[in-house]
Amino acid sequence: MNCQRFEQVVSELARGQMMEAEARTEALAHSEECERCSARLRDEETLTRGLQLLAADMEPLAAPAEMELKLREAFRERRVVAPVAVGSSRSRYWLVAVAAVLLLAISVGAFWLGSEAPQERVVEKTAPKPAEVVNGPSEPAPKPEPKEVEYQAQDQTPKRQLPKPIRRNTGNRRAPETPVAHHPTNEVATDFVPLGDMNAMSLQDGGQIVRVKLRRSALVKFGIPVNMERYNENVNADVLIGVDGLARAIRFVQ
Amino acid sequence: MTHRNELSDNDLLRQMLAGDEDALAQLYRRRQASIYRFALQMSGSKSIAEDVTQEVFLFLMRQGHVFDAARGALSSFLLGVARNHVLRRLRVEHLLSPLADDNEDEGIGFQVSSELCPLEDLTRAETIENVRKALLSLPPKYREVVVLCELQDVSYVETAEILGCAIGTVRSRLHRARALLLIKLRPAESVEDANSASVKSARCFA
Repeated sequence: MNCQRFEQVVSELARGQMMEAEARTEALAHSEECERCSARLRDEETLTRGLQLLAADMEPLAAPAEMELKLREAFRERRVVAPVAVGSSRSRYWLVAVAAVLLLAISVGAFWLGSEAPQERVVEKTAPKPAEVVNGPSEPAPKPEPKEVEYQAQDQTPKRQLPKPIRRNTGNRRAPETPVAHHPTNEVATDFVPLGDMNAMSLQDGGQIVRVKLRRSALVKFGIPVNMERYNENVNADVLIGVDGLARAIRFVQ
Repeated sequence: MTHRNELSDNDLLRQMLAGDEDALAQLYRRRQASIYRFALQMSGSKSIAEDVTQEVFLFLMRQGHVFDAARGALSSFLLGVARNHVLRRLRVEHLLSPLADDNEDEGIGFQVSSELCPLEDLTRAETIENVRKALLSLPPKYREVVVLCELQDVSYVETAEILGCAIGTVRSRLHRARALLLIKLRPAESVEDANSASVKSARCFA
């Protein structure tokens, strides 16, 4: 063994670490031959003893006893909170479920009304203001300019028959279906497919739906069959964006 | 209570996370001393050591579920958390050279042994104080390997887990740290002698 090799093992030798018996014997033999390495070994052994003294000196040290009490107290506070947190999370799930049902009901209602709303708008557009004016004189509200009213009433005379549909709308909201009413509901959509590692539960967290256009080829990734002849065409899709801004789910619309 | 002593750290942690306060107490009693000593040896400050010990167990209460038994022992995990807290505190409080005189009172005190004669006692106390000062003057990356491997008697493998580095890095840092300690512990004239000797003498290759 030479000094260079001795230097590599002197720490382990001084610390009494496990090492190969042969290397240990060689190192000890070298330290007897080389005065410098012998002094080096002595220094290392002195340092090891000093560190052992320091370790032994600090061995009985420990954290103050009151710390355990503080931690127990903190733990109790946390534990008191924890069941509430569990309960609240359960109740939150119920709230989410109720909210989802309400949302569904509102969506159905909106869908139902949506099919009717354009028709109402059409009716309102076609319904003349004079209809109100016609009813105006019978109302208790005073009219500041009766002459104009009369004039308008005369002017709109042919449309006096239109109040009937208005009354019918206020009484029964289900209007006869018209092509206009059908227009926004002509779409057929798939179910929402969770994206990435999202699961179905995460869809209940809500978010915003953004309409995008995708290549029809993207359908393949979601297991939806694609007509290869229309491979390059675009298809509409609704992406559900979560409150964190991440895309949570997608559905395809046709 | 006896059966708790036989439970592993992981079992105690599991019970603690399930809301068992006694499991926390058992785990605390089992591990607090090594964490406290580690923080004290790293910082040289009792107040930092107490704060760090408390922070470690509060962390365990709040985020104990992040511990992965497959990646190492709970004791190593706790020492790793303690290490992060200590380094953060040292950075914040600018105590990377914590040998100021005004810290003396708060620092580690001597444990005078009545079994030794006064002279031996004094020598021992002086040696301990010198080693402590030299240790605290080391850069943190060297100090932590000395504290773990020499004072806490943690294996190289566990030290590597705690520090998040390779075992070879632990070995080389420990070697370098011991060399630095020897230089710091050597009396001034010896250092000069050593320096002059090292200049004059070439390596022997006996």
